[in-house]
Amino acid sequence: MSHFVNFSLLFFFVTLVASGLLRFFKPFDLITARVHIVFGFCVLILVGLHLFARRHYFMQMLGKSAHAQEGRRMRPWKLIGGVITAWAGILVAALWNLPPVGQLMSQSHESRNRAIIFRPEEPAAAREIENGFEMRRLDEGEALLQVEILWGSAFQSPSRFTSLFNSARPQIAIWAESSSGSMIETFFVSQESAFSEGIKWSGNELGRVDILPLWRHSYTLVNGVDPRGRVDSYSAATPEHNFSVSDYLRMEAQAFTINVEVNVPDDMNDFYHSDQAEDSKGHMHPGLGQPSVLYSARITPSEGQTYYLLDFVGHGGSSSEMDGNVYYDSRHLTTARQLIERALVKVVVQP
Amino acid sequence: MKIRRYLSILPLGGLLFHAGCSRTPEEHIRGSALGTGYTVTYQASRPVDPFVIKQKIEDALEEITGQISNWNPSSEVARFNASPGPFSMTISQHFVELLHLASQLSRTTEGALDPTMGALIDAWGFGVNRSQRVPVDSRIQQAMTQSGLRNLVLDSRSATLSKQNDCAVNLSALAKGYAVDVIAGILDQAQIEHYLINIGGEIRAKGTRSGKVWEVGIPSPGGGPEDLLATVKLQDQAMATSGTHRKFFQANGTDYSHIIDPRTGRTVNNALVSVSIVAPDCAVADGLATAILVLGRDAGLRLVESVPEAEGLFAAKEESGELEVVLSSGWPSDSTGSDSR
Repeated sequence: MSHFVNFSLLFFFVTLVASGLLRFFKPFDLITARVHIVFGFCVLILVGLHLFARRHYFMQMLGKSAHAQEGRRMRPWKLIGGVITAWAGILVAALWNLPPVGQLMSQSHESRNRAIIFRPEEPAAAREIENGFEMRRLDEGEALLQVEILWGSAFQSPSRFTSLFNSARPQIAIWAESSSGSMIETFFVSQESAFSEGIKWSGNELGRVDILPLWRHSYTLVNGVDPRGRVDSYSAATPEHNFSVSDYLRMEAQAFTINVEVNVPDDMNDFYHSDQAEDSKGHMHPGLGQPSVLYSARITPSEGQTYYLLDFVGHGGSSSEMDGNVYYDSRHLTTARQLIERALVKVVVQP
Repeated sequence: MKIRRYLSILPLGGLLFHAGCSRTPEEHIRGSALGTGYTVTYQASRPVDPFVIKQKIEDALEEITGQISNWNPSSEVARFNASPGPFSMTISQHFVELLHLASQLSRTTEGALDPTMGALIDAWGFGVNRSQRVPVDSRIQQAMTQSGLRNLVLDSRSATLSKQNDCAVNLSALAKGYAVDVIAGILDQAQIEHYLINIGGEIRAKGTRSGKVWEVGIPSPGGGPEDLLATVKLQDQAMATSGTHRKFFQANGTDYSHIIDPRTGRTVNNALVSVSIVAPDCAVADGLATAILVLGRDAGLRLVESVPEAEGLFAAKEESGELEVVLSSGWPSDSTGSDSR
């Protein structure tokens, strides 16, 4: 039994360490988190078995003095006291983020990229539904914002990408903007784009500003980080608005816009592909295919309307254009126009 | 053996030594205040808890809002404005300081900046009521009689502000810049040596970012997200930008910007669309940027040249629709930006 436990610990612990390091240094990934948790439980059980098997050792150490090497007498309570002191010190440091724990944690991907990591507000949740996608943003009272998307024939649901190492999942962003075009709140961003500026997408190293240029440029107002790293910040005339859609879910509130941007990899066509000249309107970085597409709906709370259909507005532009502007010439889009069959917004405002 | 024992504690000692000496990694704080968003990026030579710093920043912003925000009905400014004259009330520190500064800038700009034009702002609908419209002449005249520093008396010793008529105070022209300076004070007190603060485009930078001077972009008015008018290297300086292209309303085919000329009671109508000012303090930069939009290009340039340590970048729309960029004589030479004077 002890041999089984020892050898199991070797394999399970190494896996735990590997997944822990990945979790620490790389963007959040559900697979890594899952492996780490599962193997954490396994190691817990194995360590428990190991300690149980060594129970005689502990009893012996606590029961009478043990002799250390070279004939010196070692007092077990001194050893245990040292262990407990070290354990308590590290626990306190971990709980209160004292040096060197703070220094150590600041090296993690989360700490180093806090400014660019997106997480939705608590009352927002998203899930896949049959052949579609749903996002709900609850608010005070019965106020609600719900976006339901029915995928088109050219869309492959992320859940179909069951391969562990398949990084070709479609990327989606859903957000609200004020009538002056300033971002109010982002409700959902696909996992890969939420945690890192750089993404490996279908085998190609790309920026999320290349995949979802419209959302990413709009998001700059919130996180203050230049998507292309040219500057540290911006100084501009102040856009005046709130950063929560809650203030817009009232009868007397101003109108706002709901936007959905979607992009799928490798959907090249005769016009949009990487072999086009770099300065041409059809040139796309390898892996991108057609530009991202934007669907929008203008919500006017005072009208009392509950349902709004999102209309196709335009696209994010080719690689030579991707500057955050919406491009309206959609003549050359083919399957990109078939990614969304229908997108519906349900708005329930506070009276 | 002794050597092995000491060797075993070396890694721990090294970690502690490293923790004490090196610059901590960059921290980012963001939130919303004064009707817009703010971000604070900082780096210190010793660990500083970002949650503690954020709490101090939020407390300070709440304090400022509670005193000088026209959009907060329980703020001191709102209560002062809501009370008909004659009226006196004791006001708090931020209110006093901001009013002092605004009064000084009003004199420096010869009235182009006026903290008492609350009635004019309301007349045009750019205030709390947000019912933007072109007011009739009589309404403007009435609002102008209620405006002017002569209608206010501030007793600095007792911090008492008095008015004889329905004068309304509005400090929004430099409120964000002032808030930036207050946050800078918090970071300085926490002995943070490197930071960049941004509240709605009003910025203050200190130190460097990983050894490089902070670089701030000025977006081109009316351009796309990636169109930059200029890039400025800020070192221990503040910058504020005011413009007419983001807040305006249309009536009868005419655009009316939110910048009102206190001297005429009407919205400004000159070629300037964006003014960026670099100065030691953000409140001063903020106030000057707004005043220069009122004064126009030539008078604005003379003003900037007369204020010590202030420099400006003006963007003006020519008749052809092209954007002309004008720089003051001391505009940072290592910043990018075209000079077409």
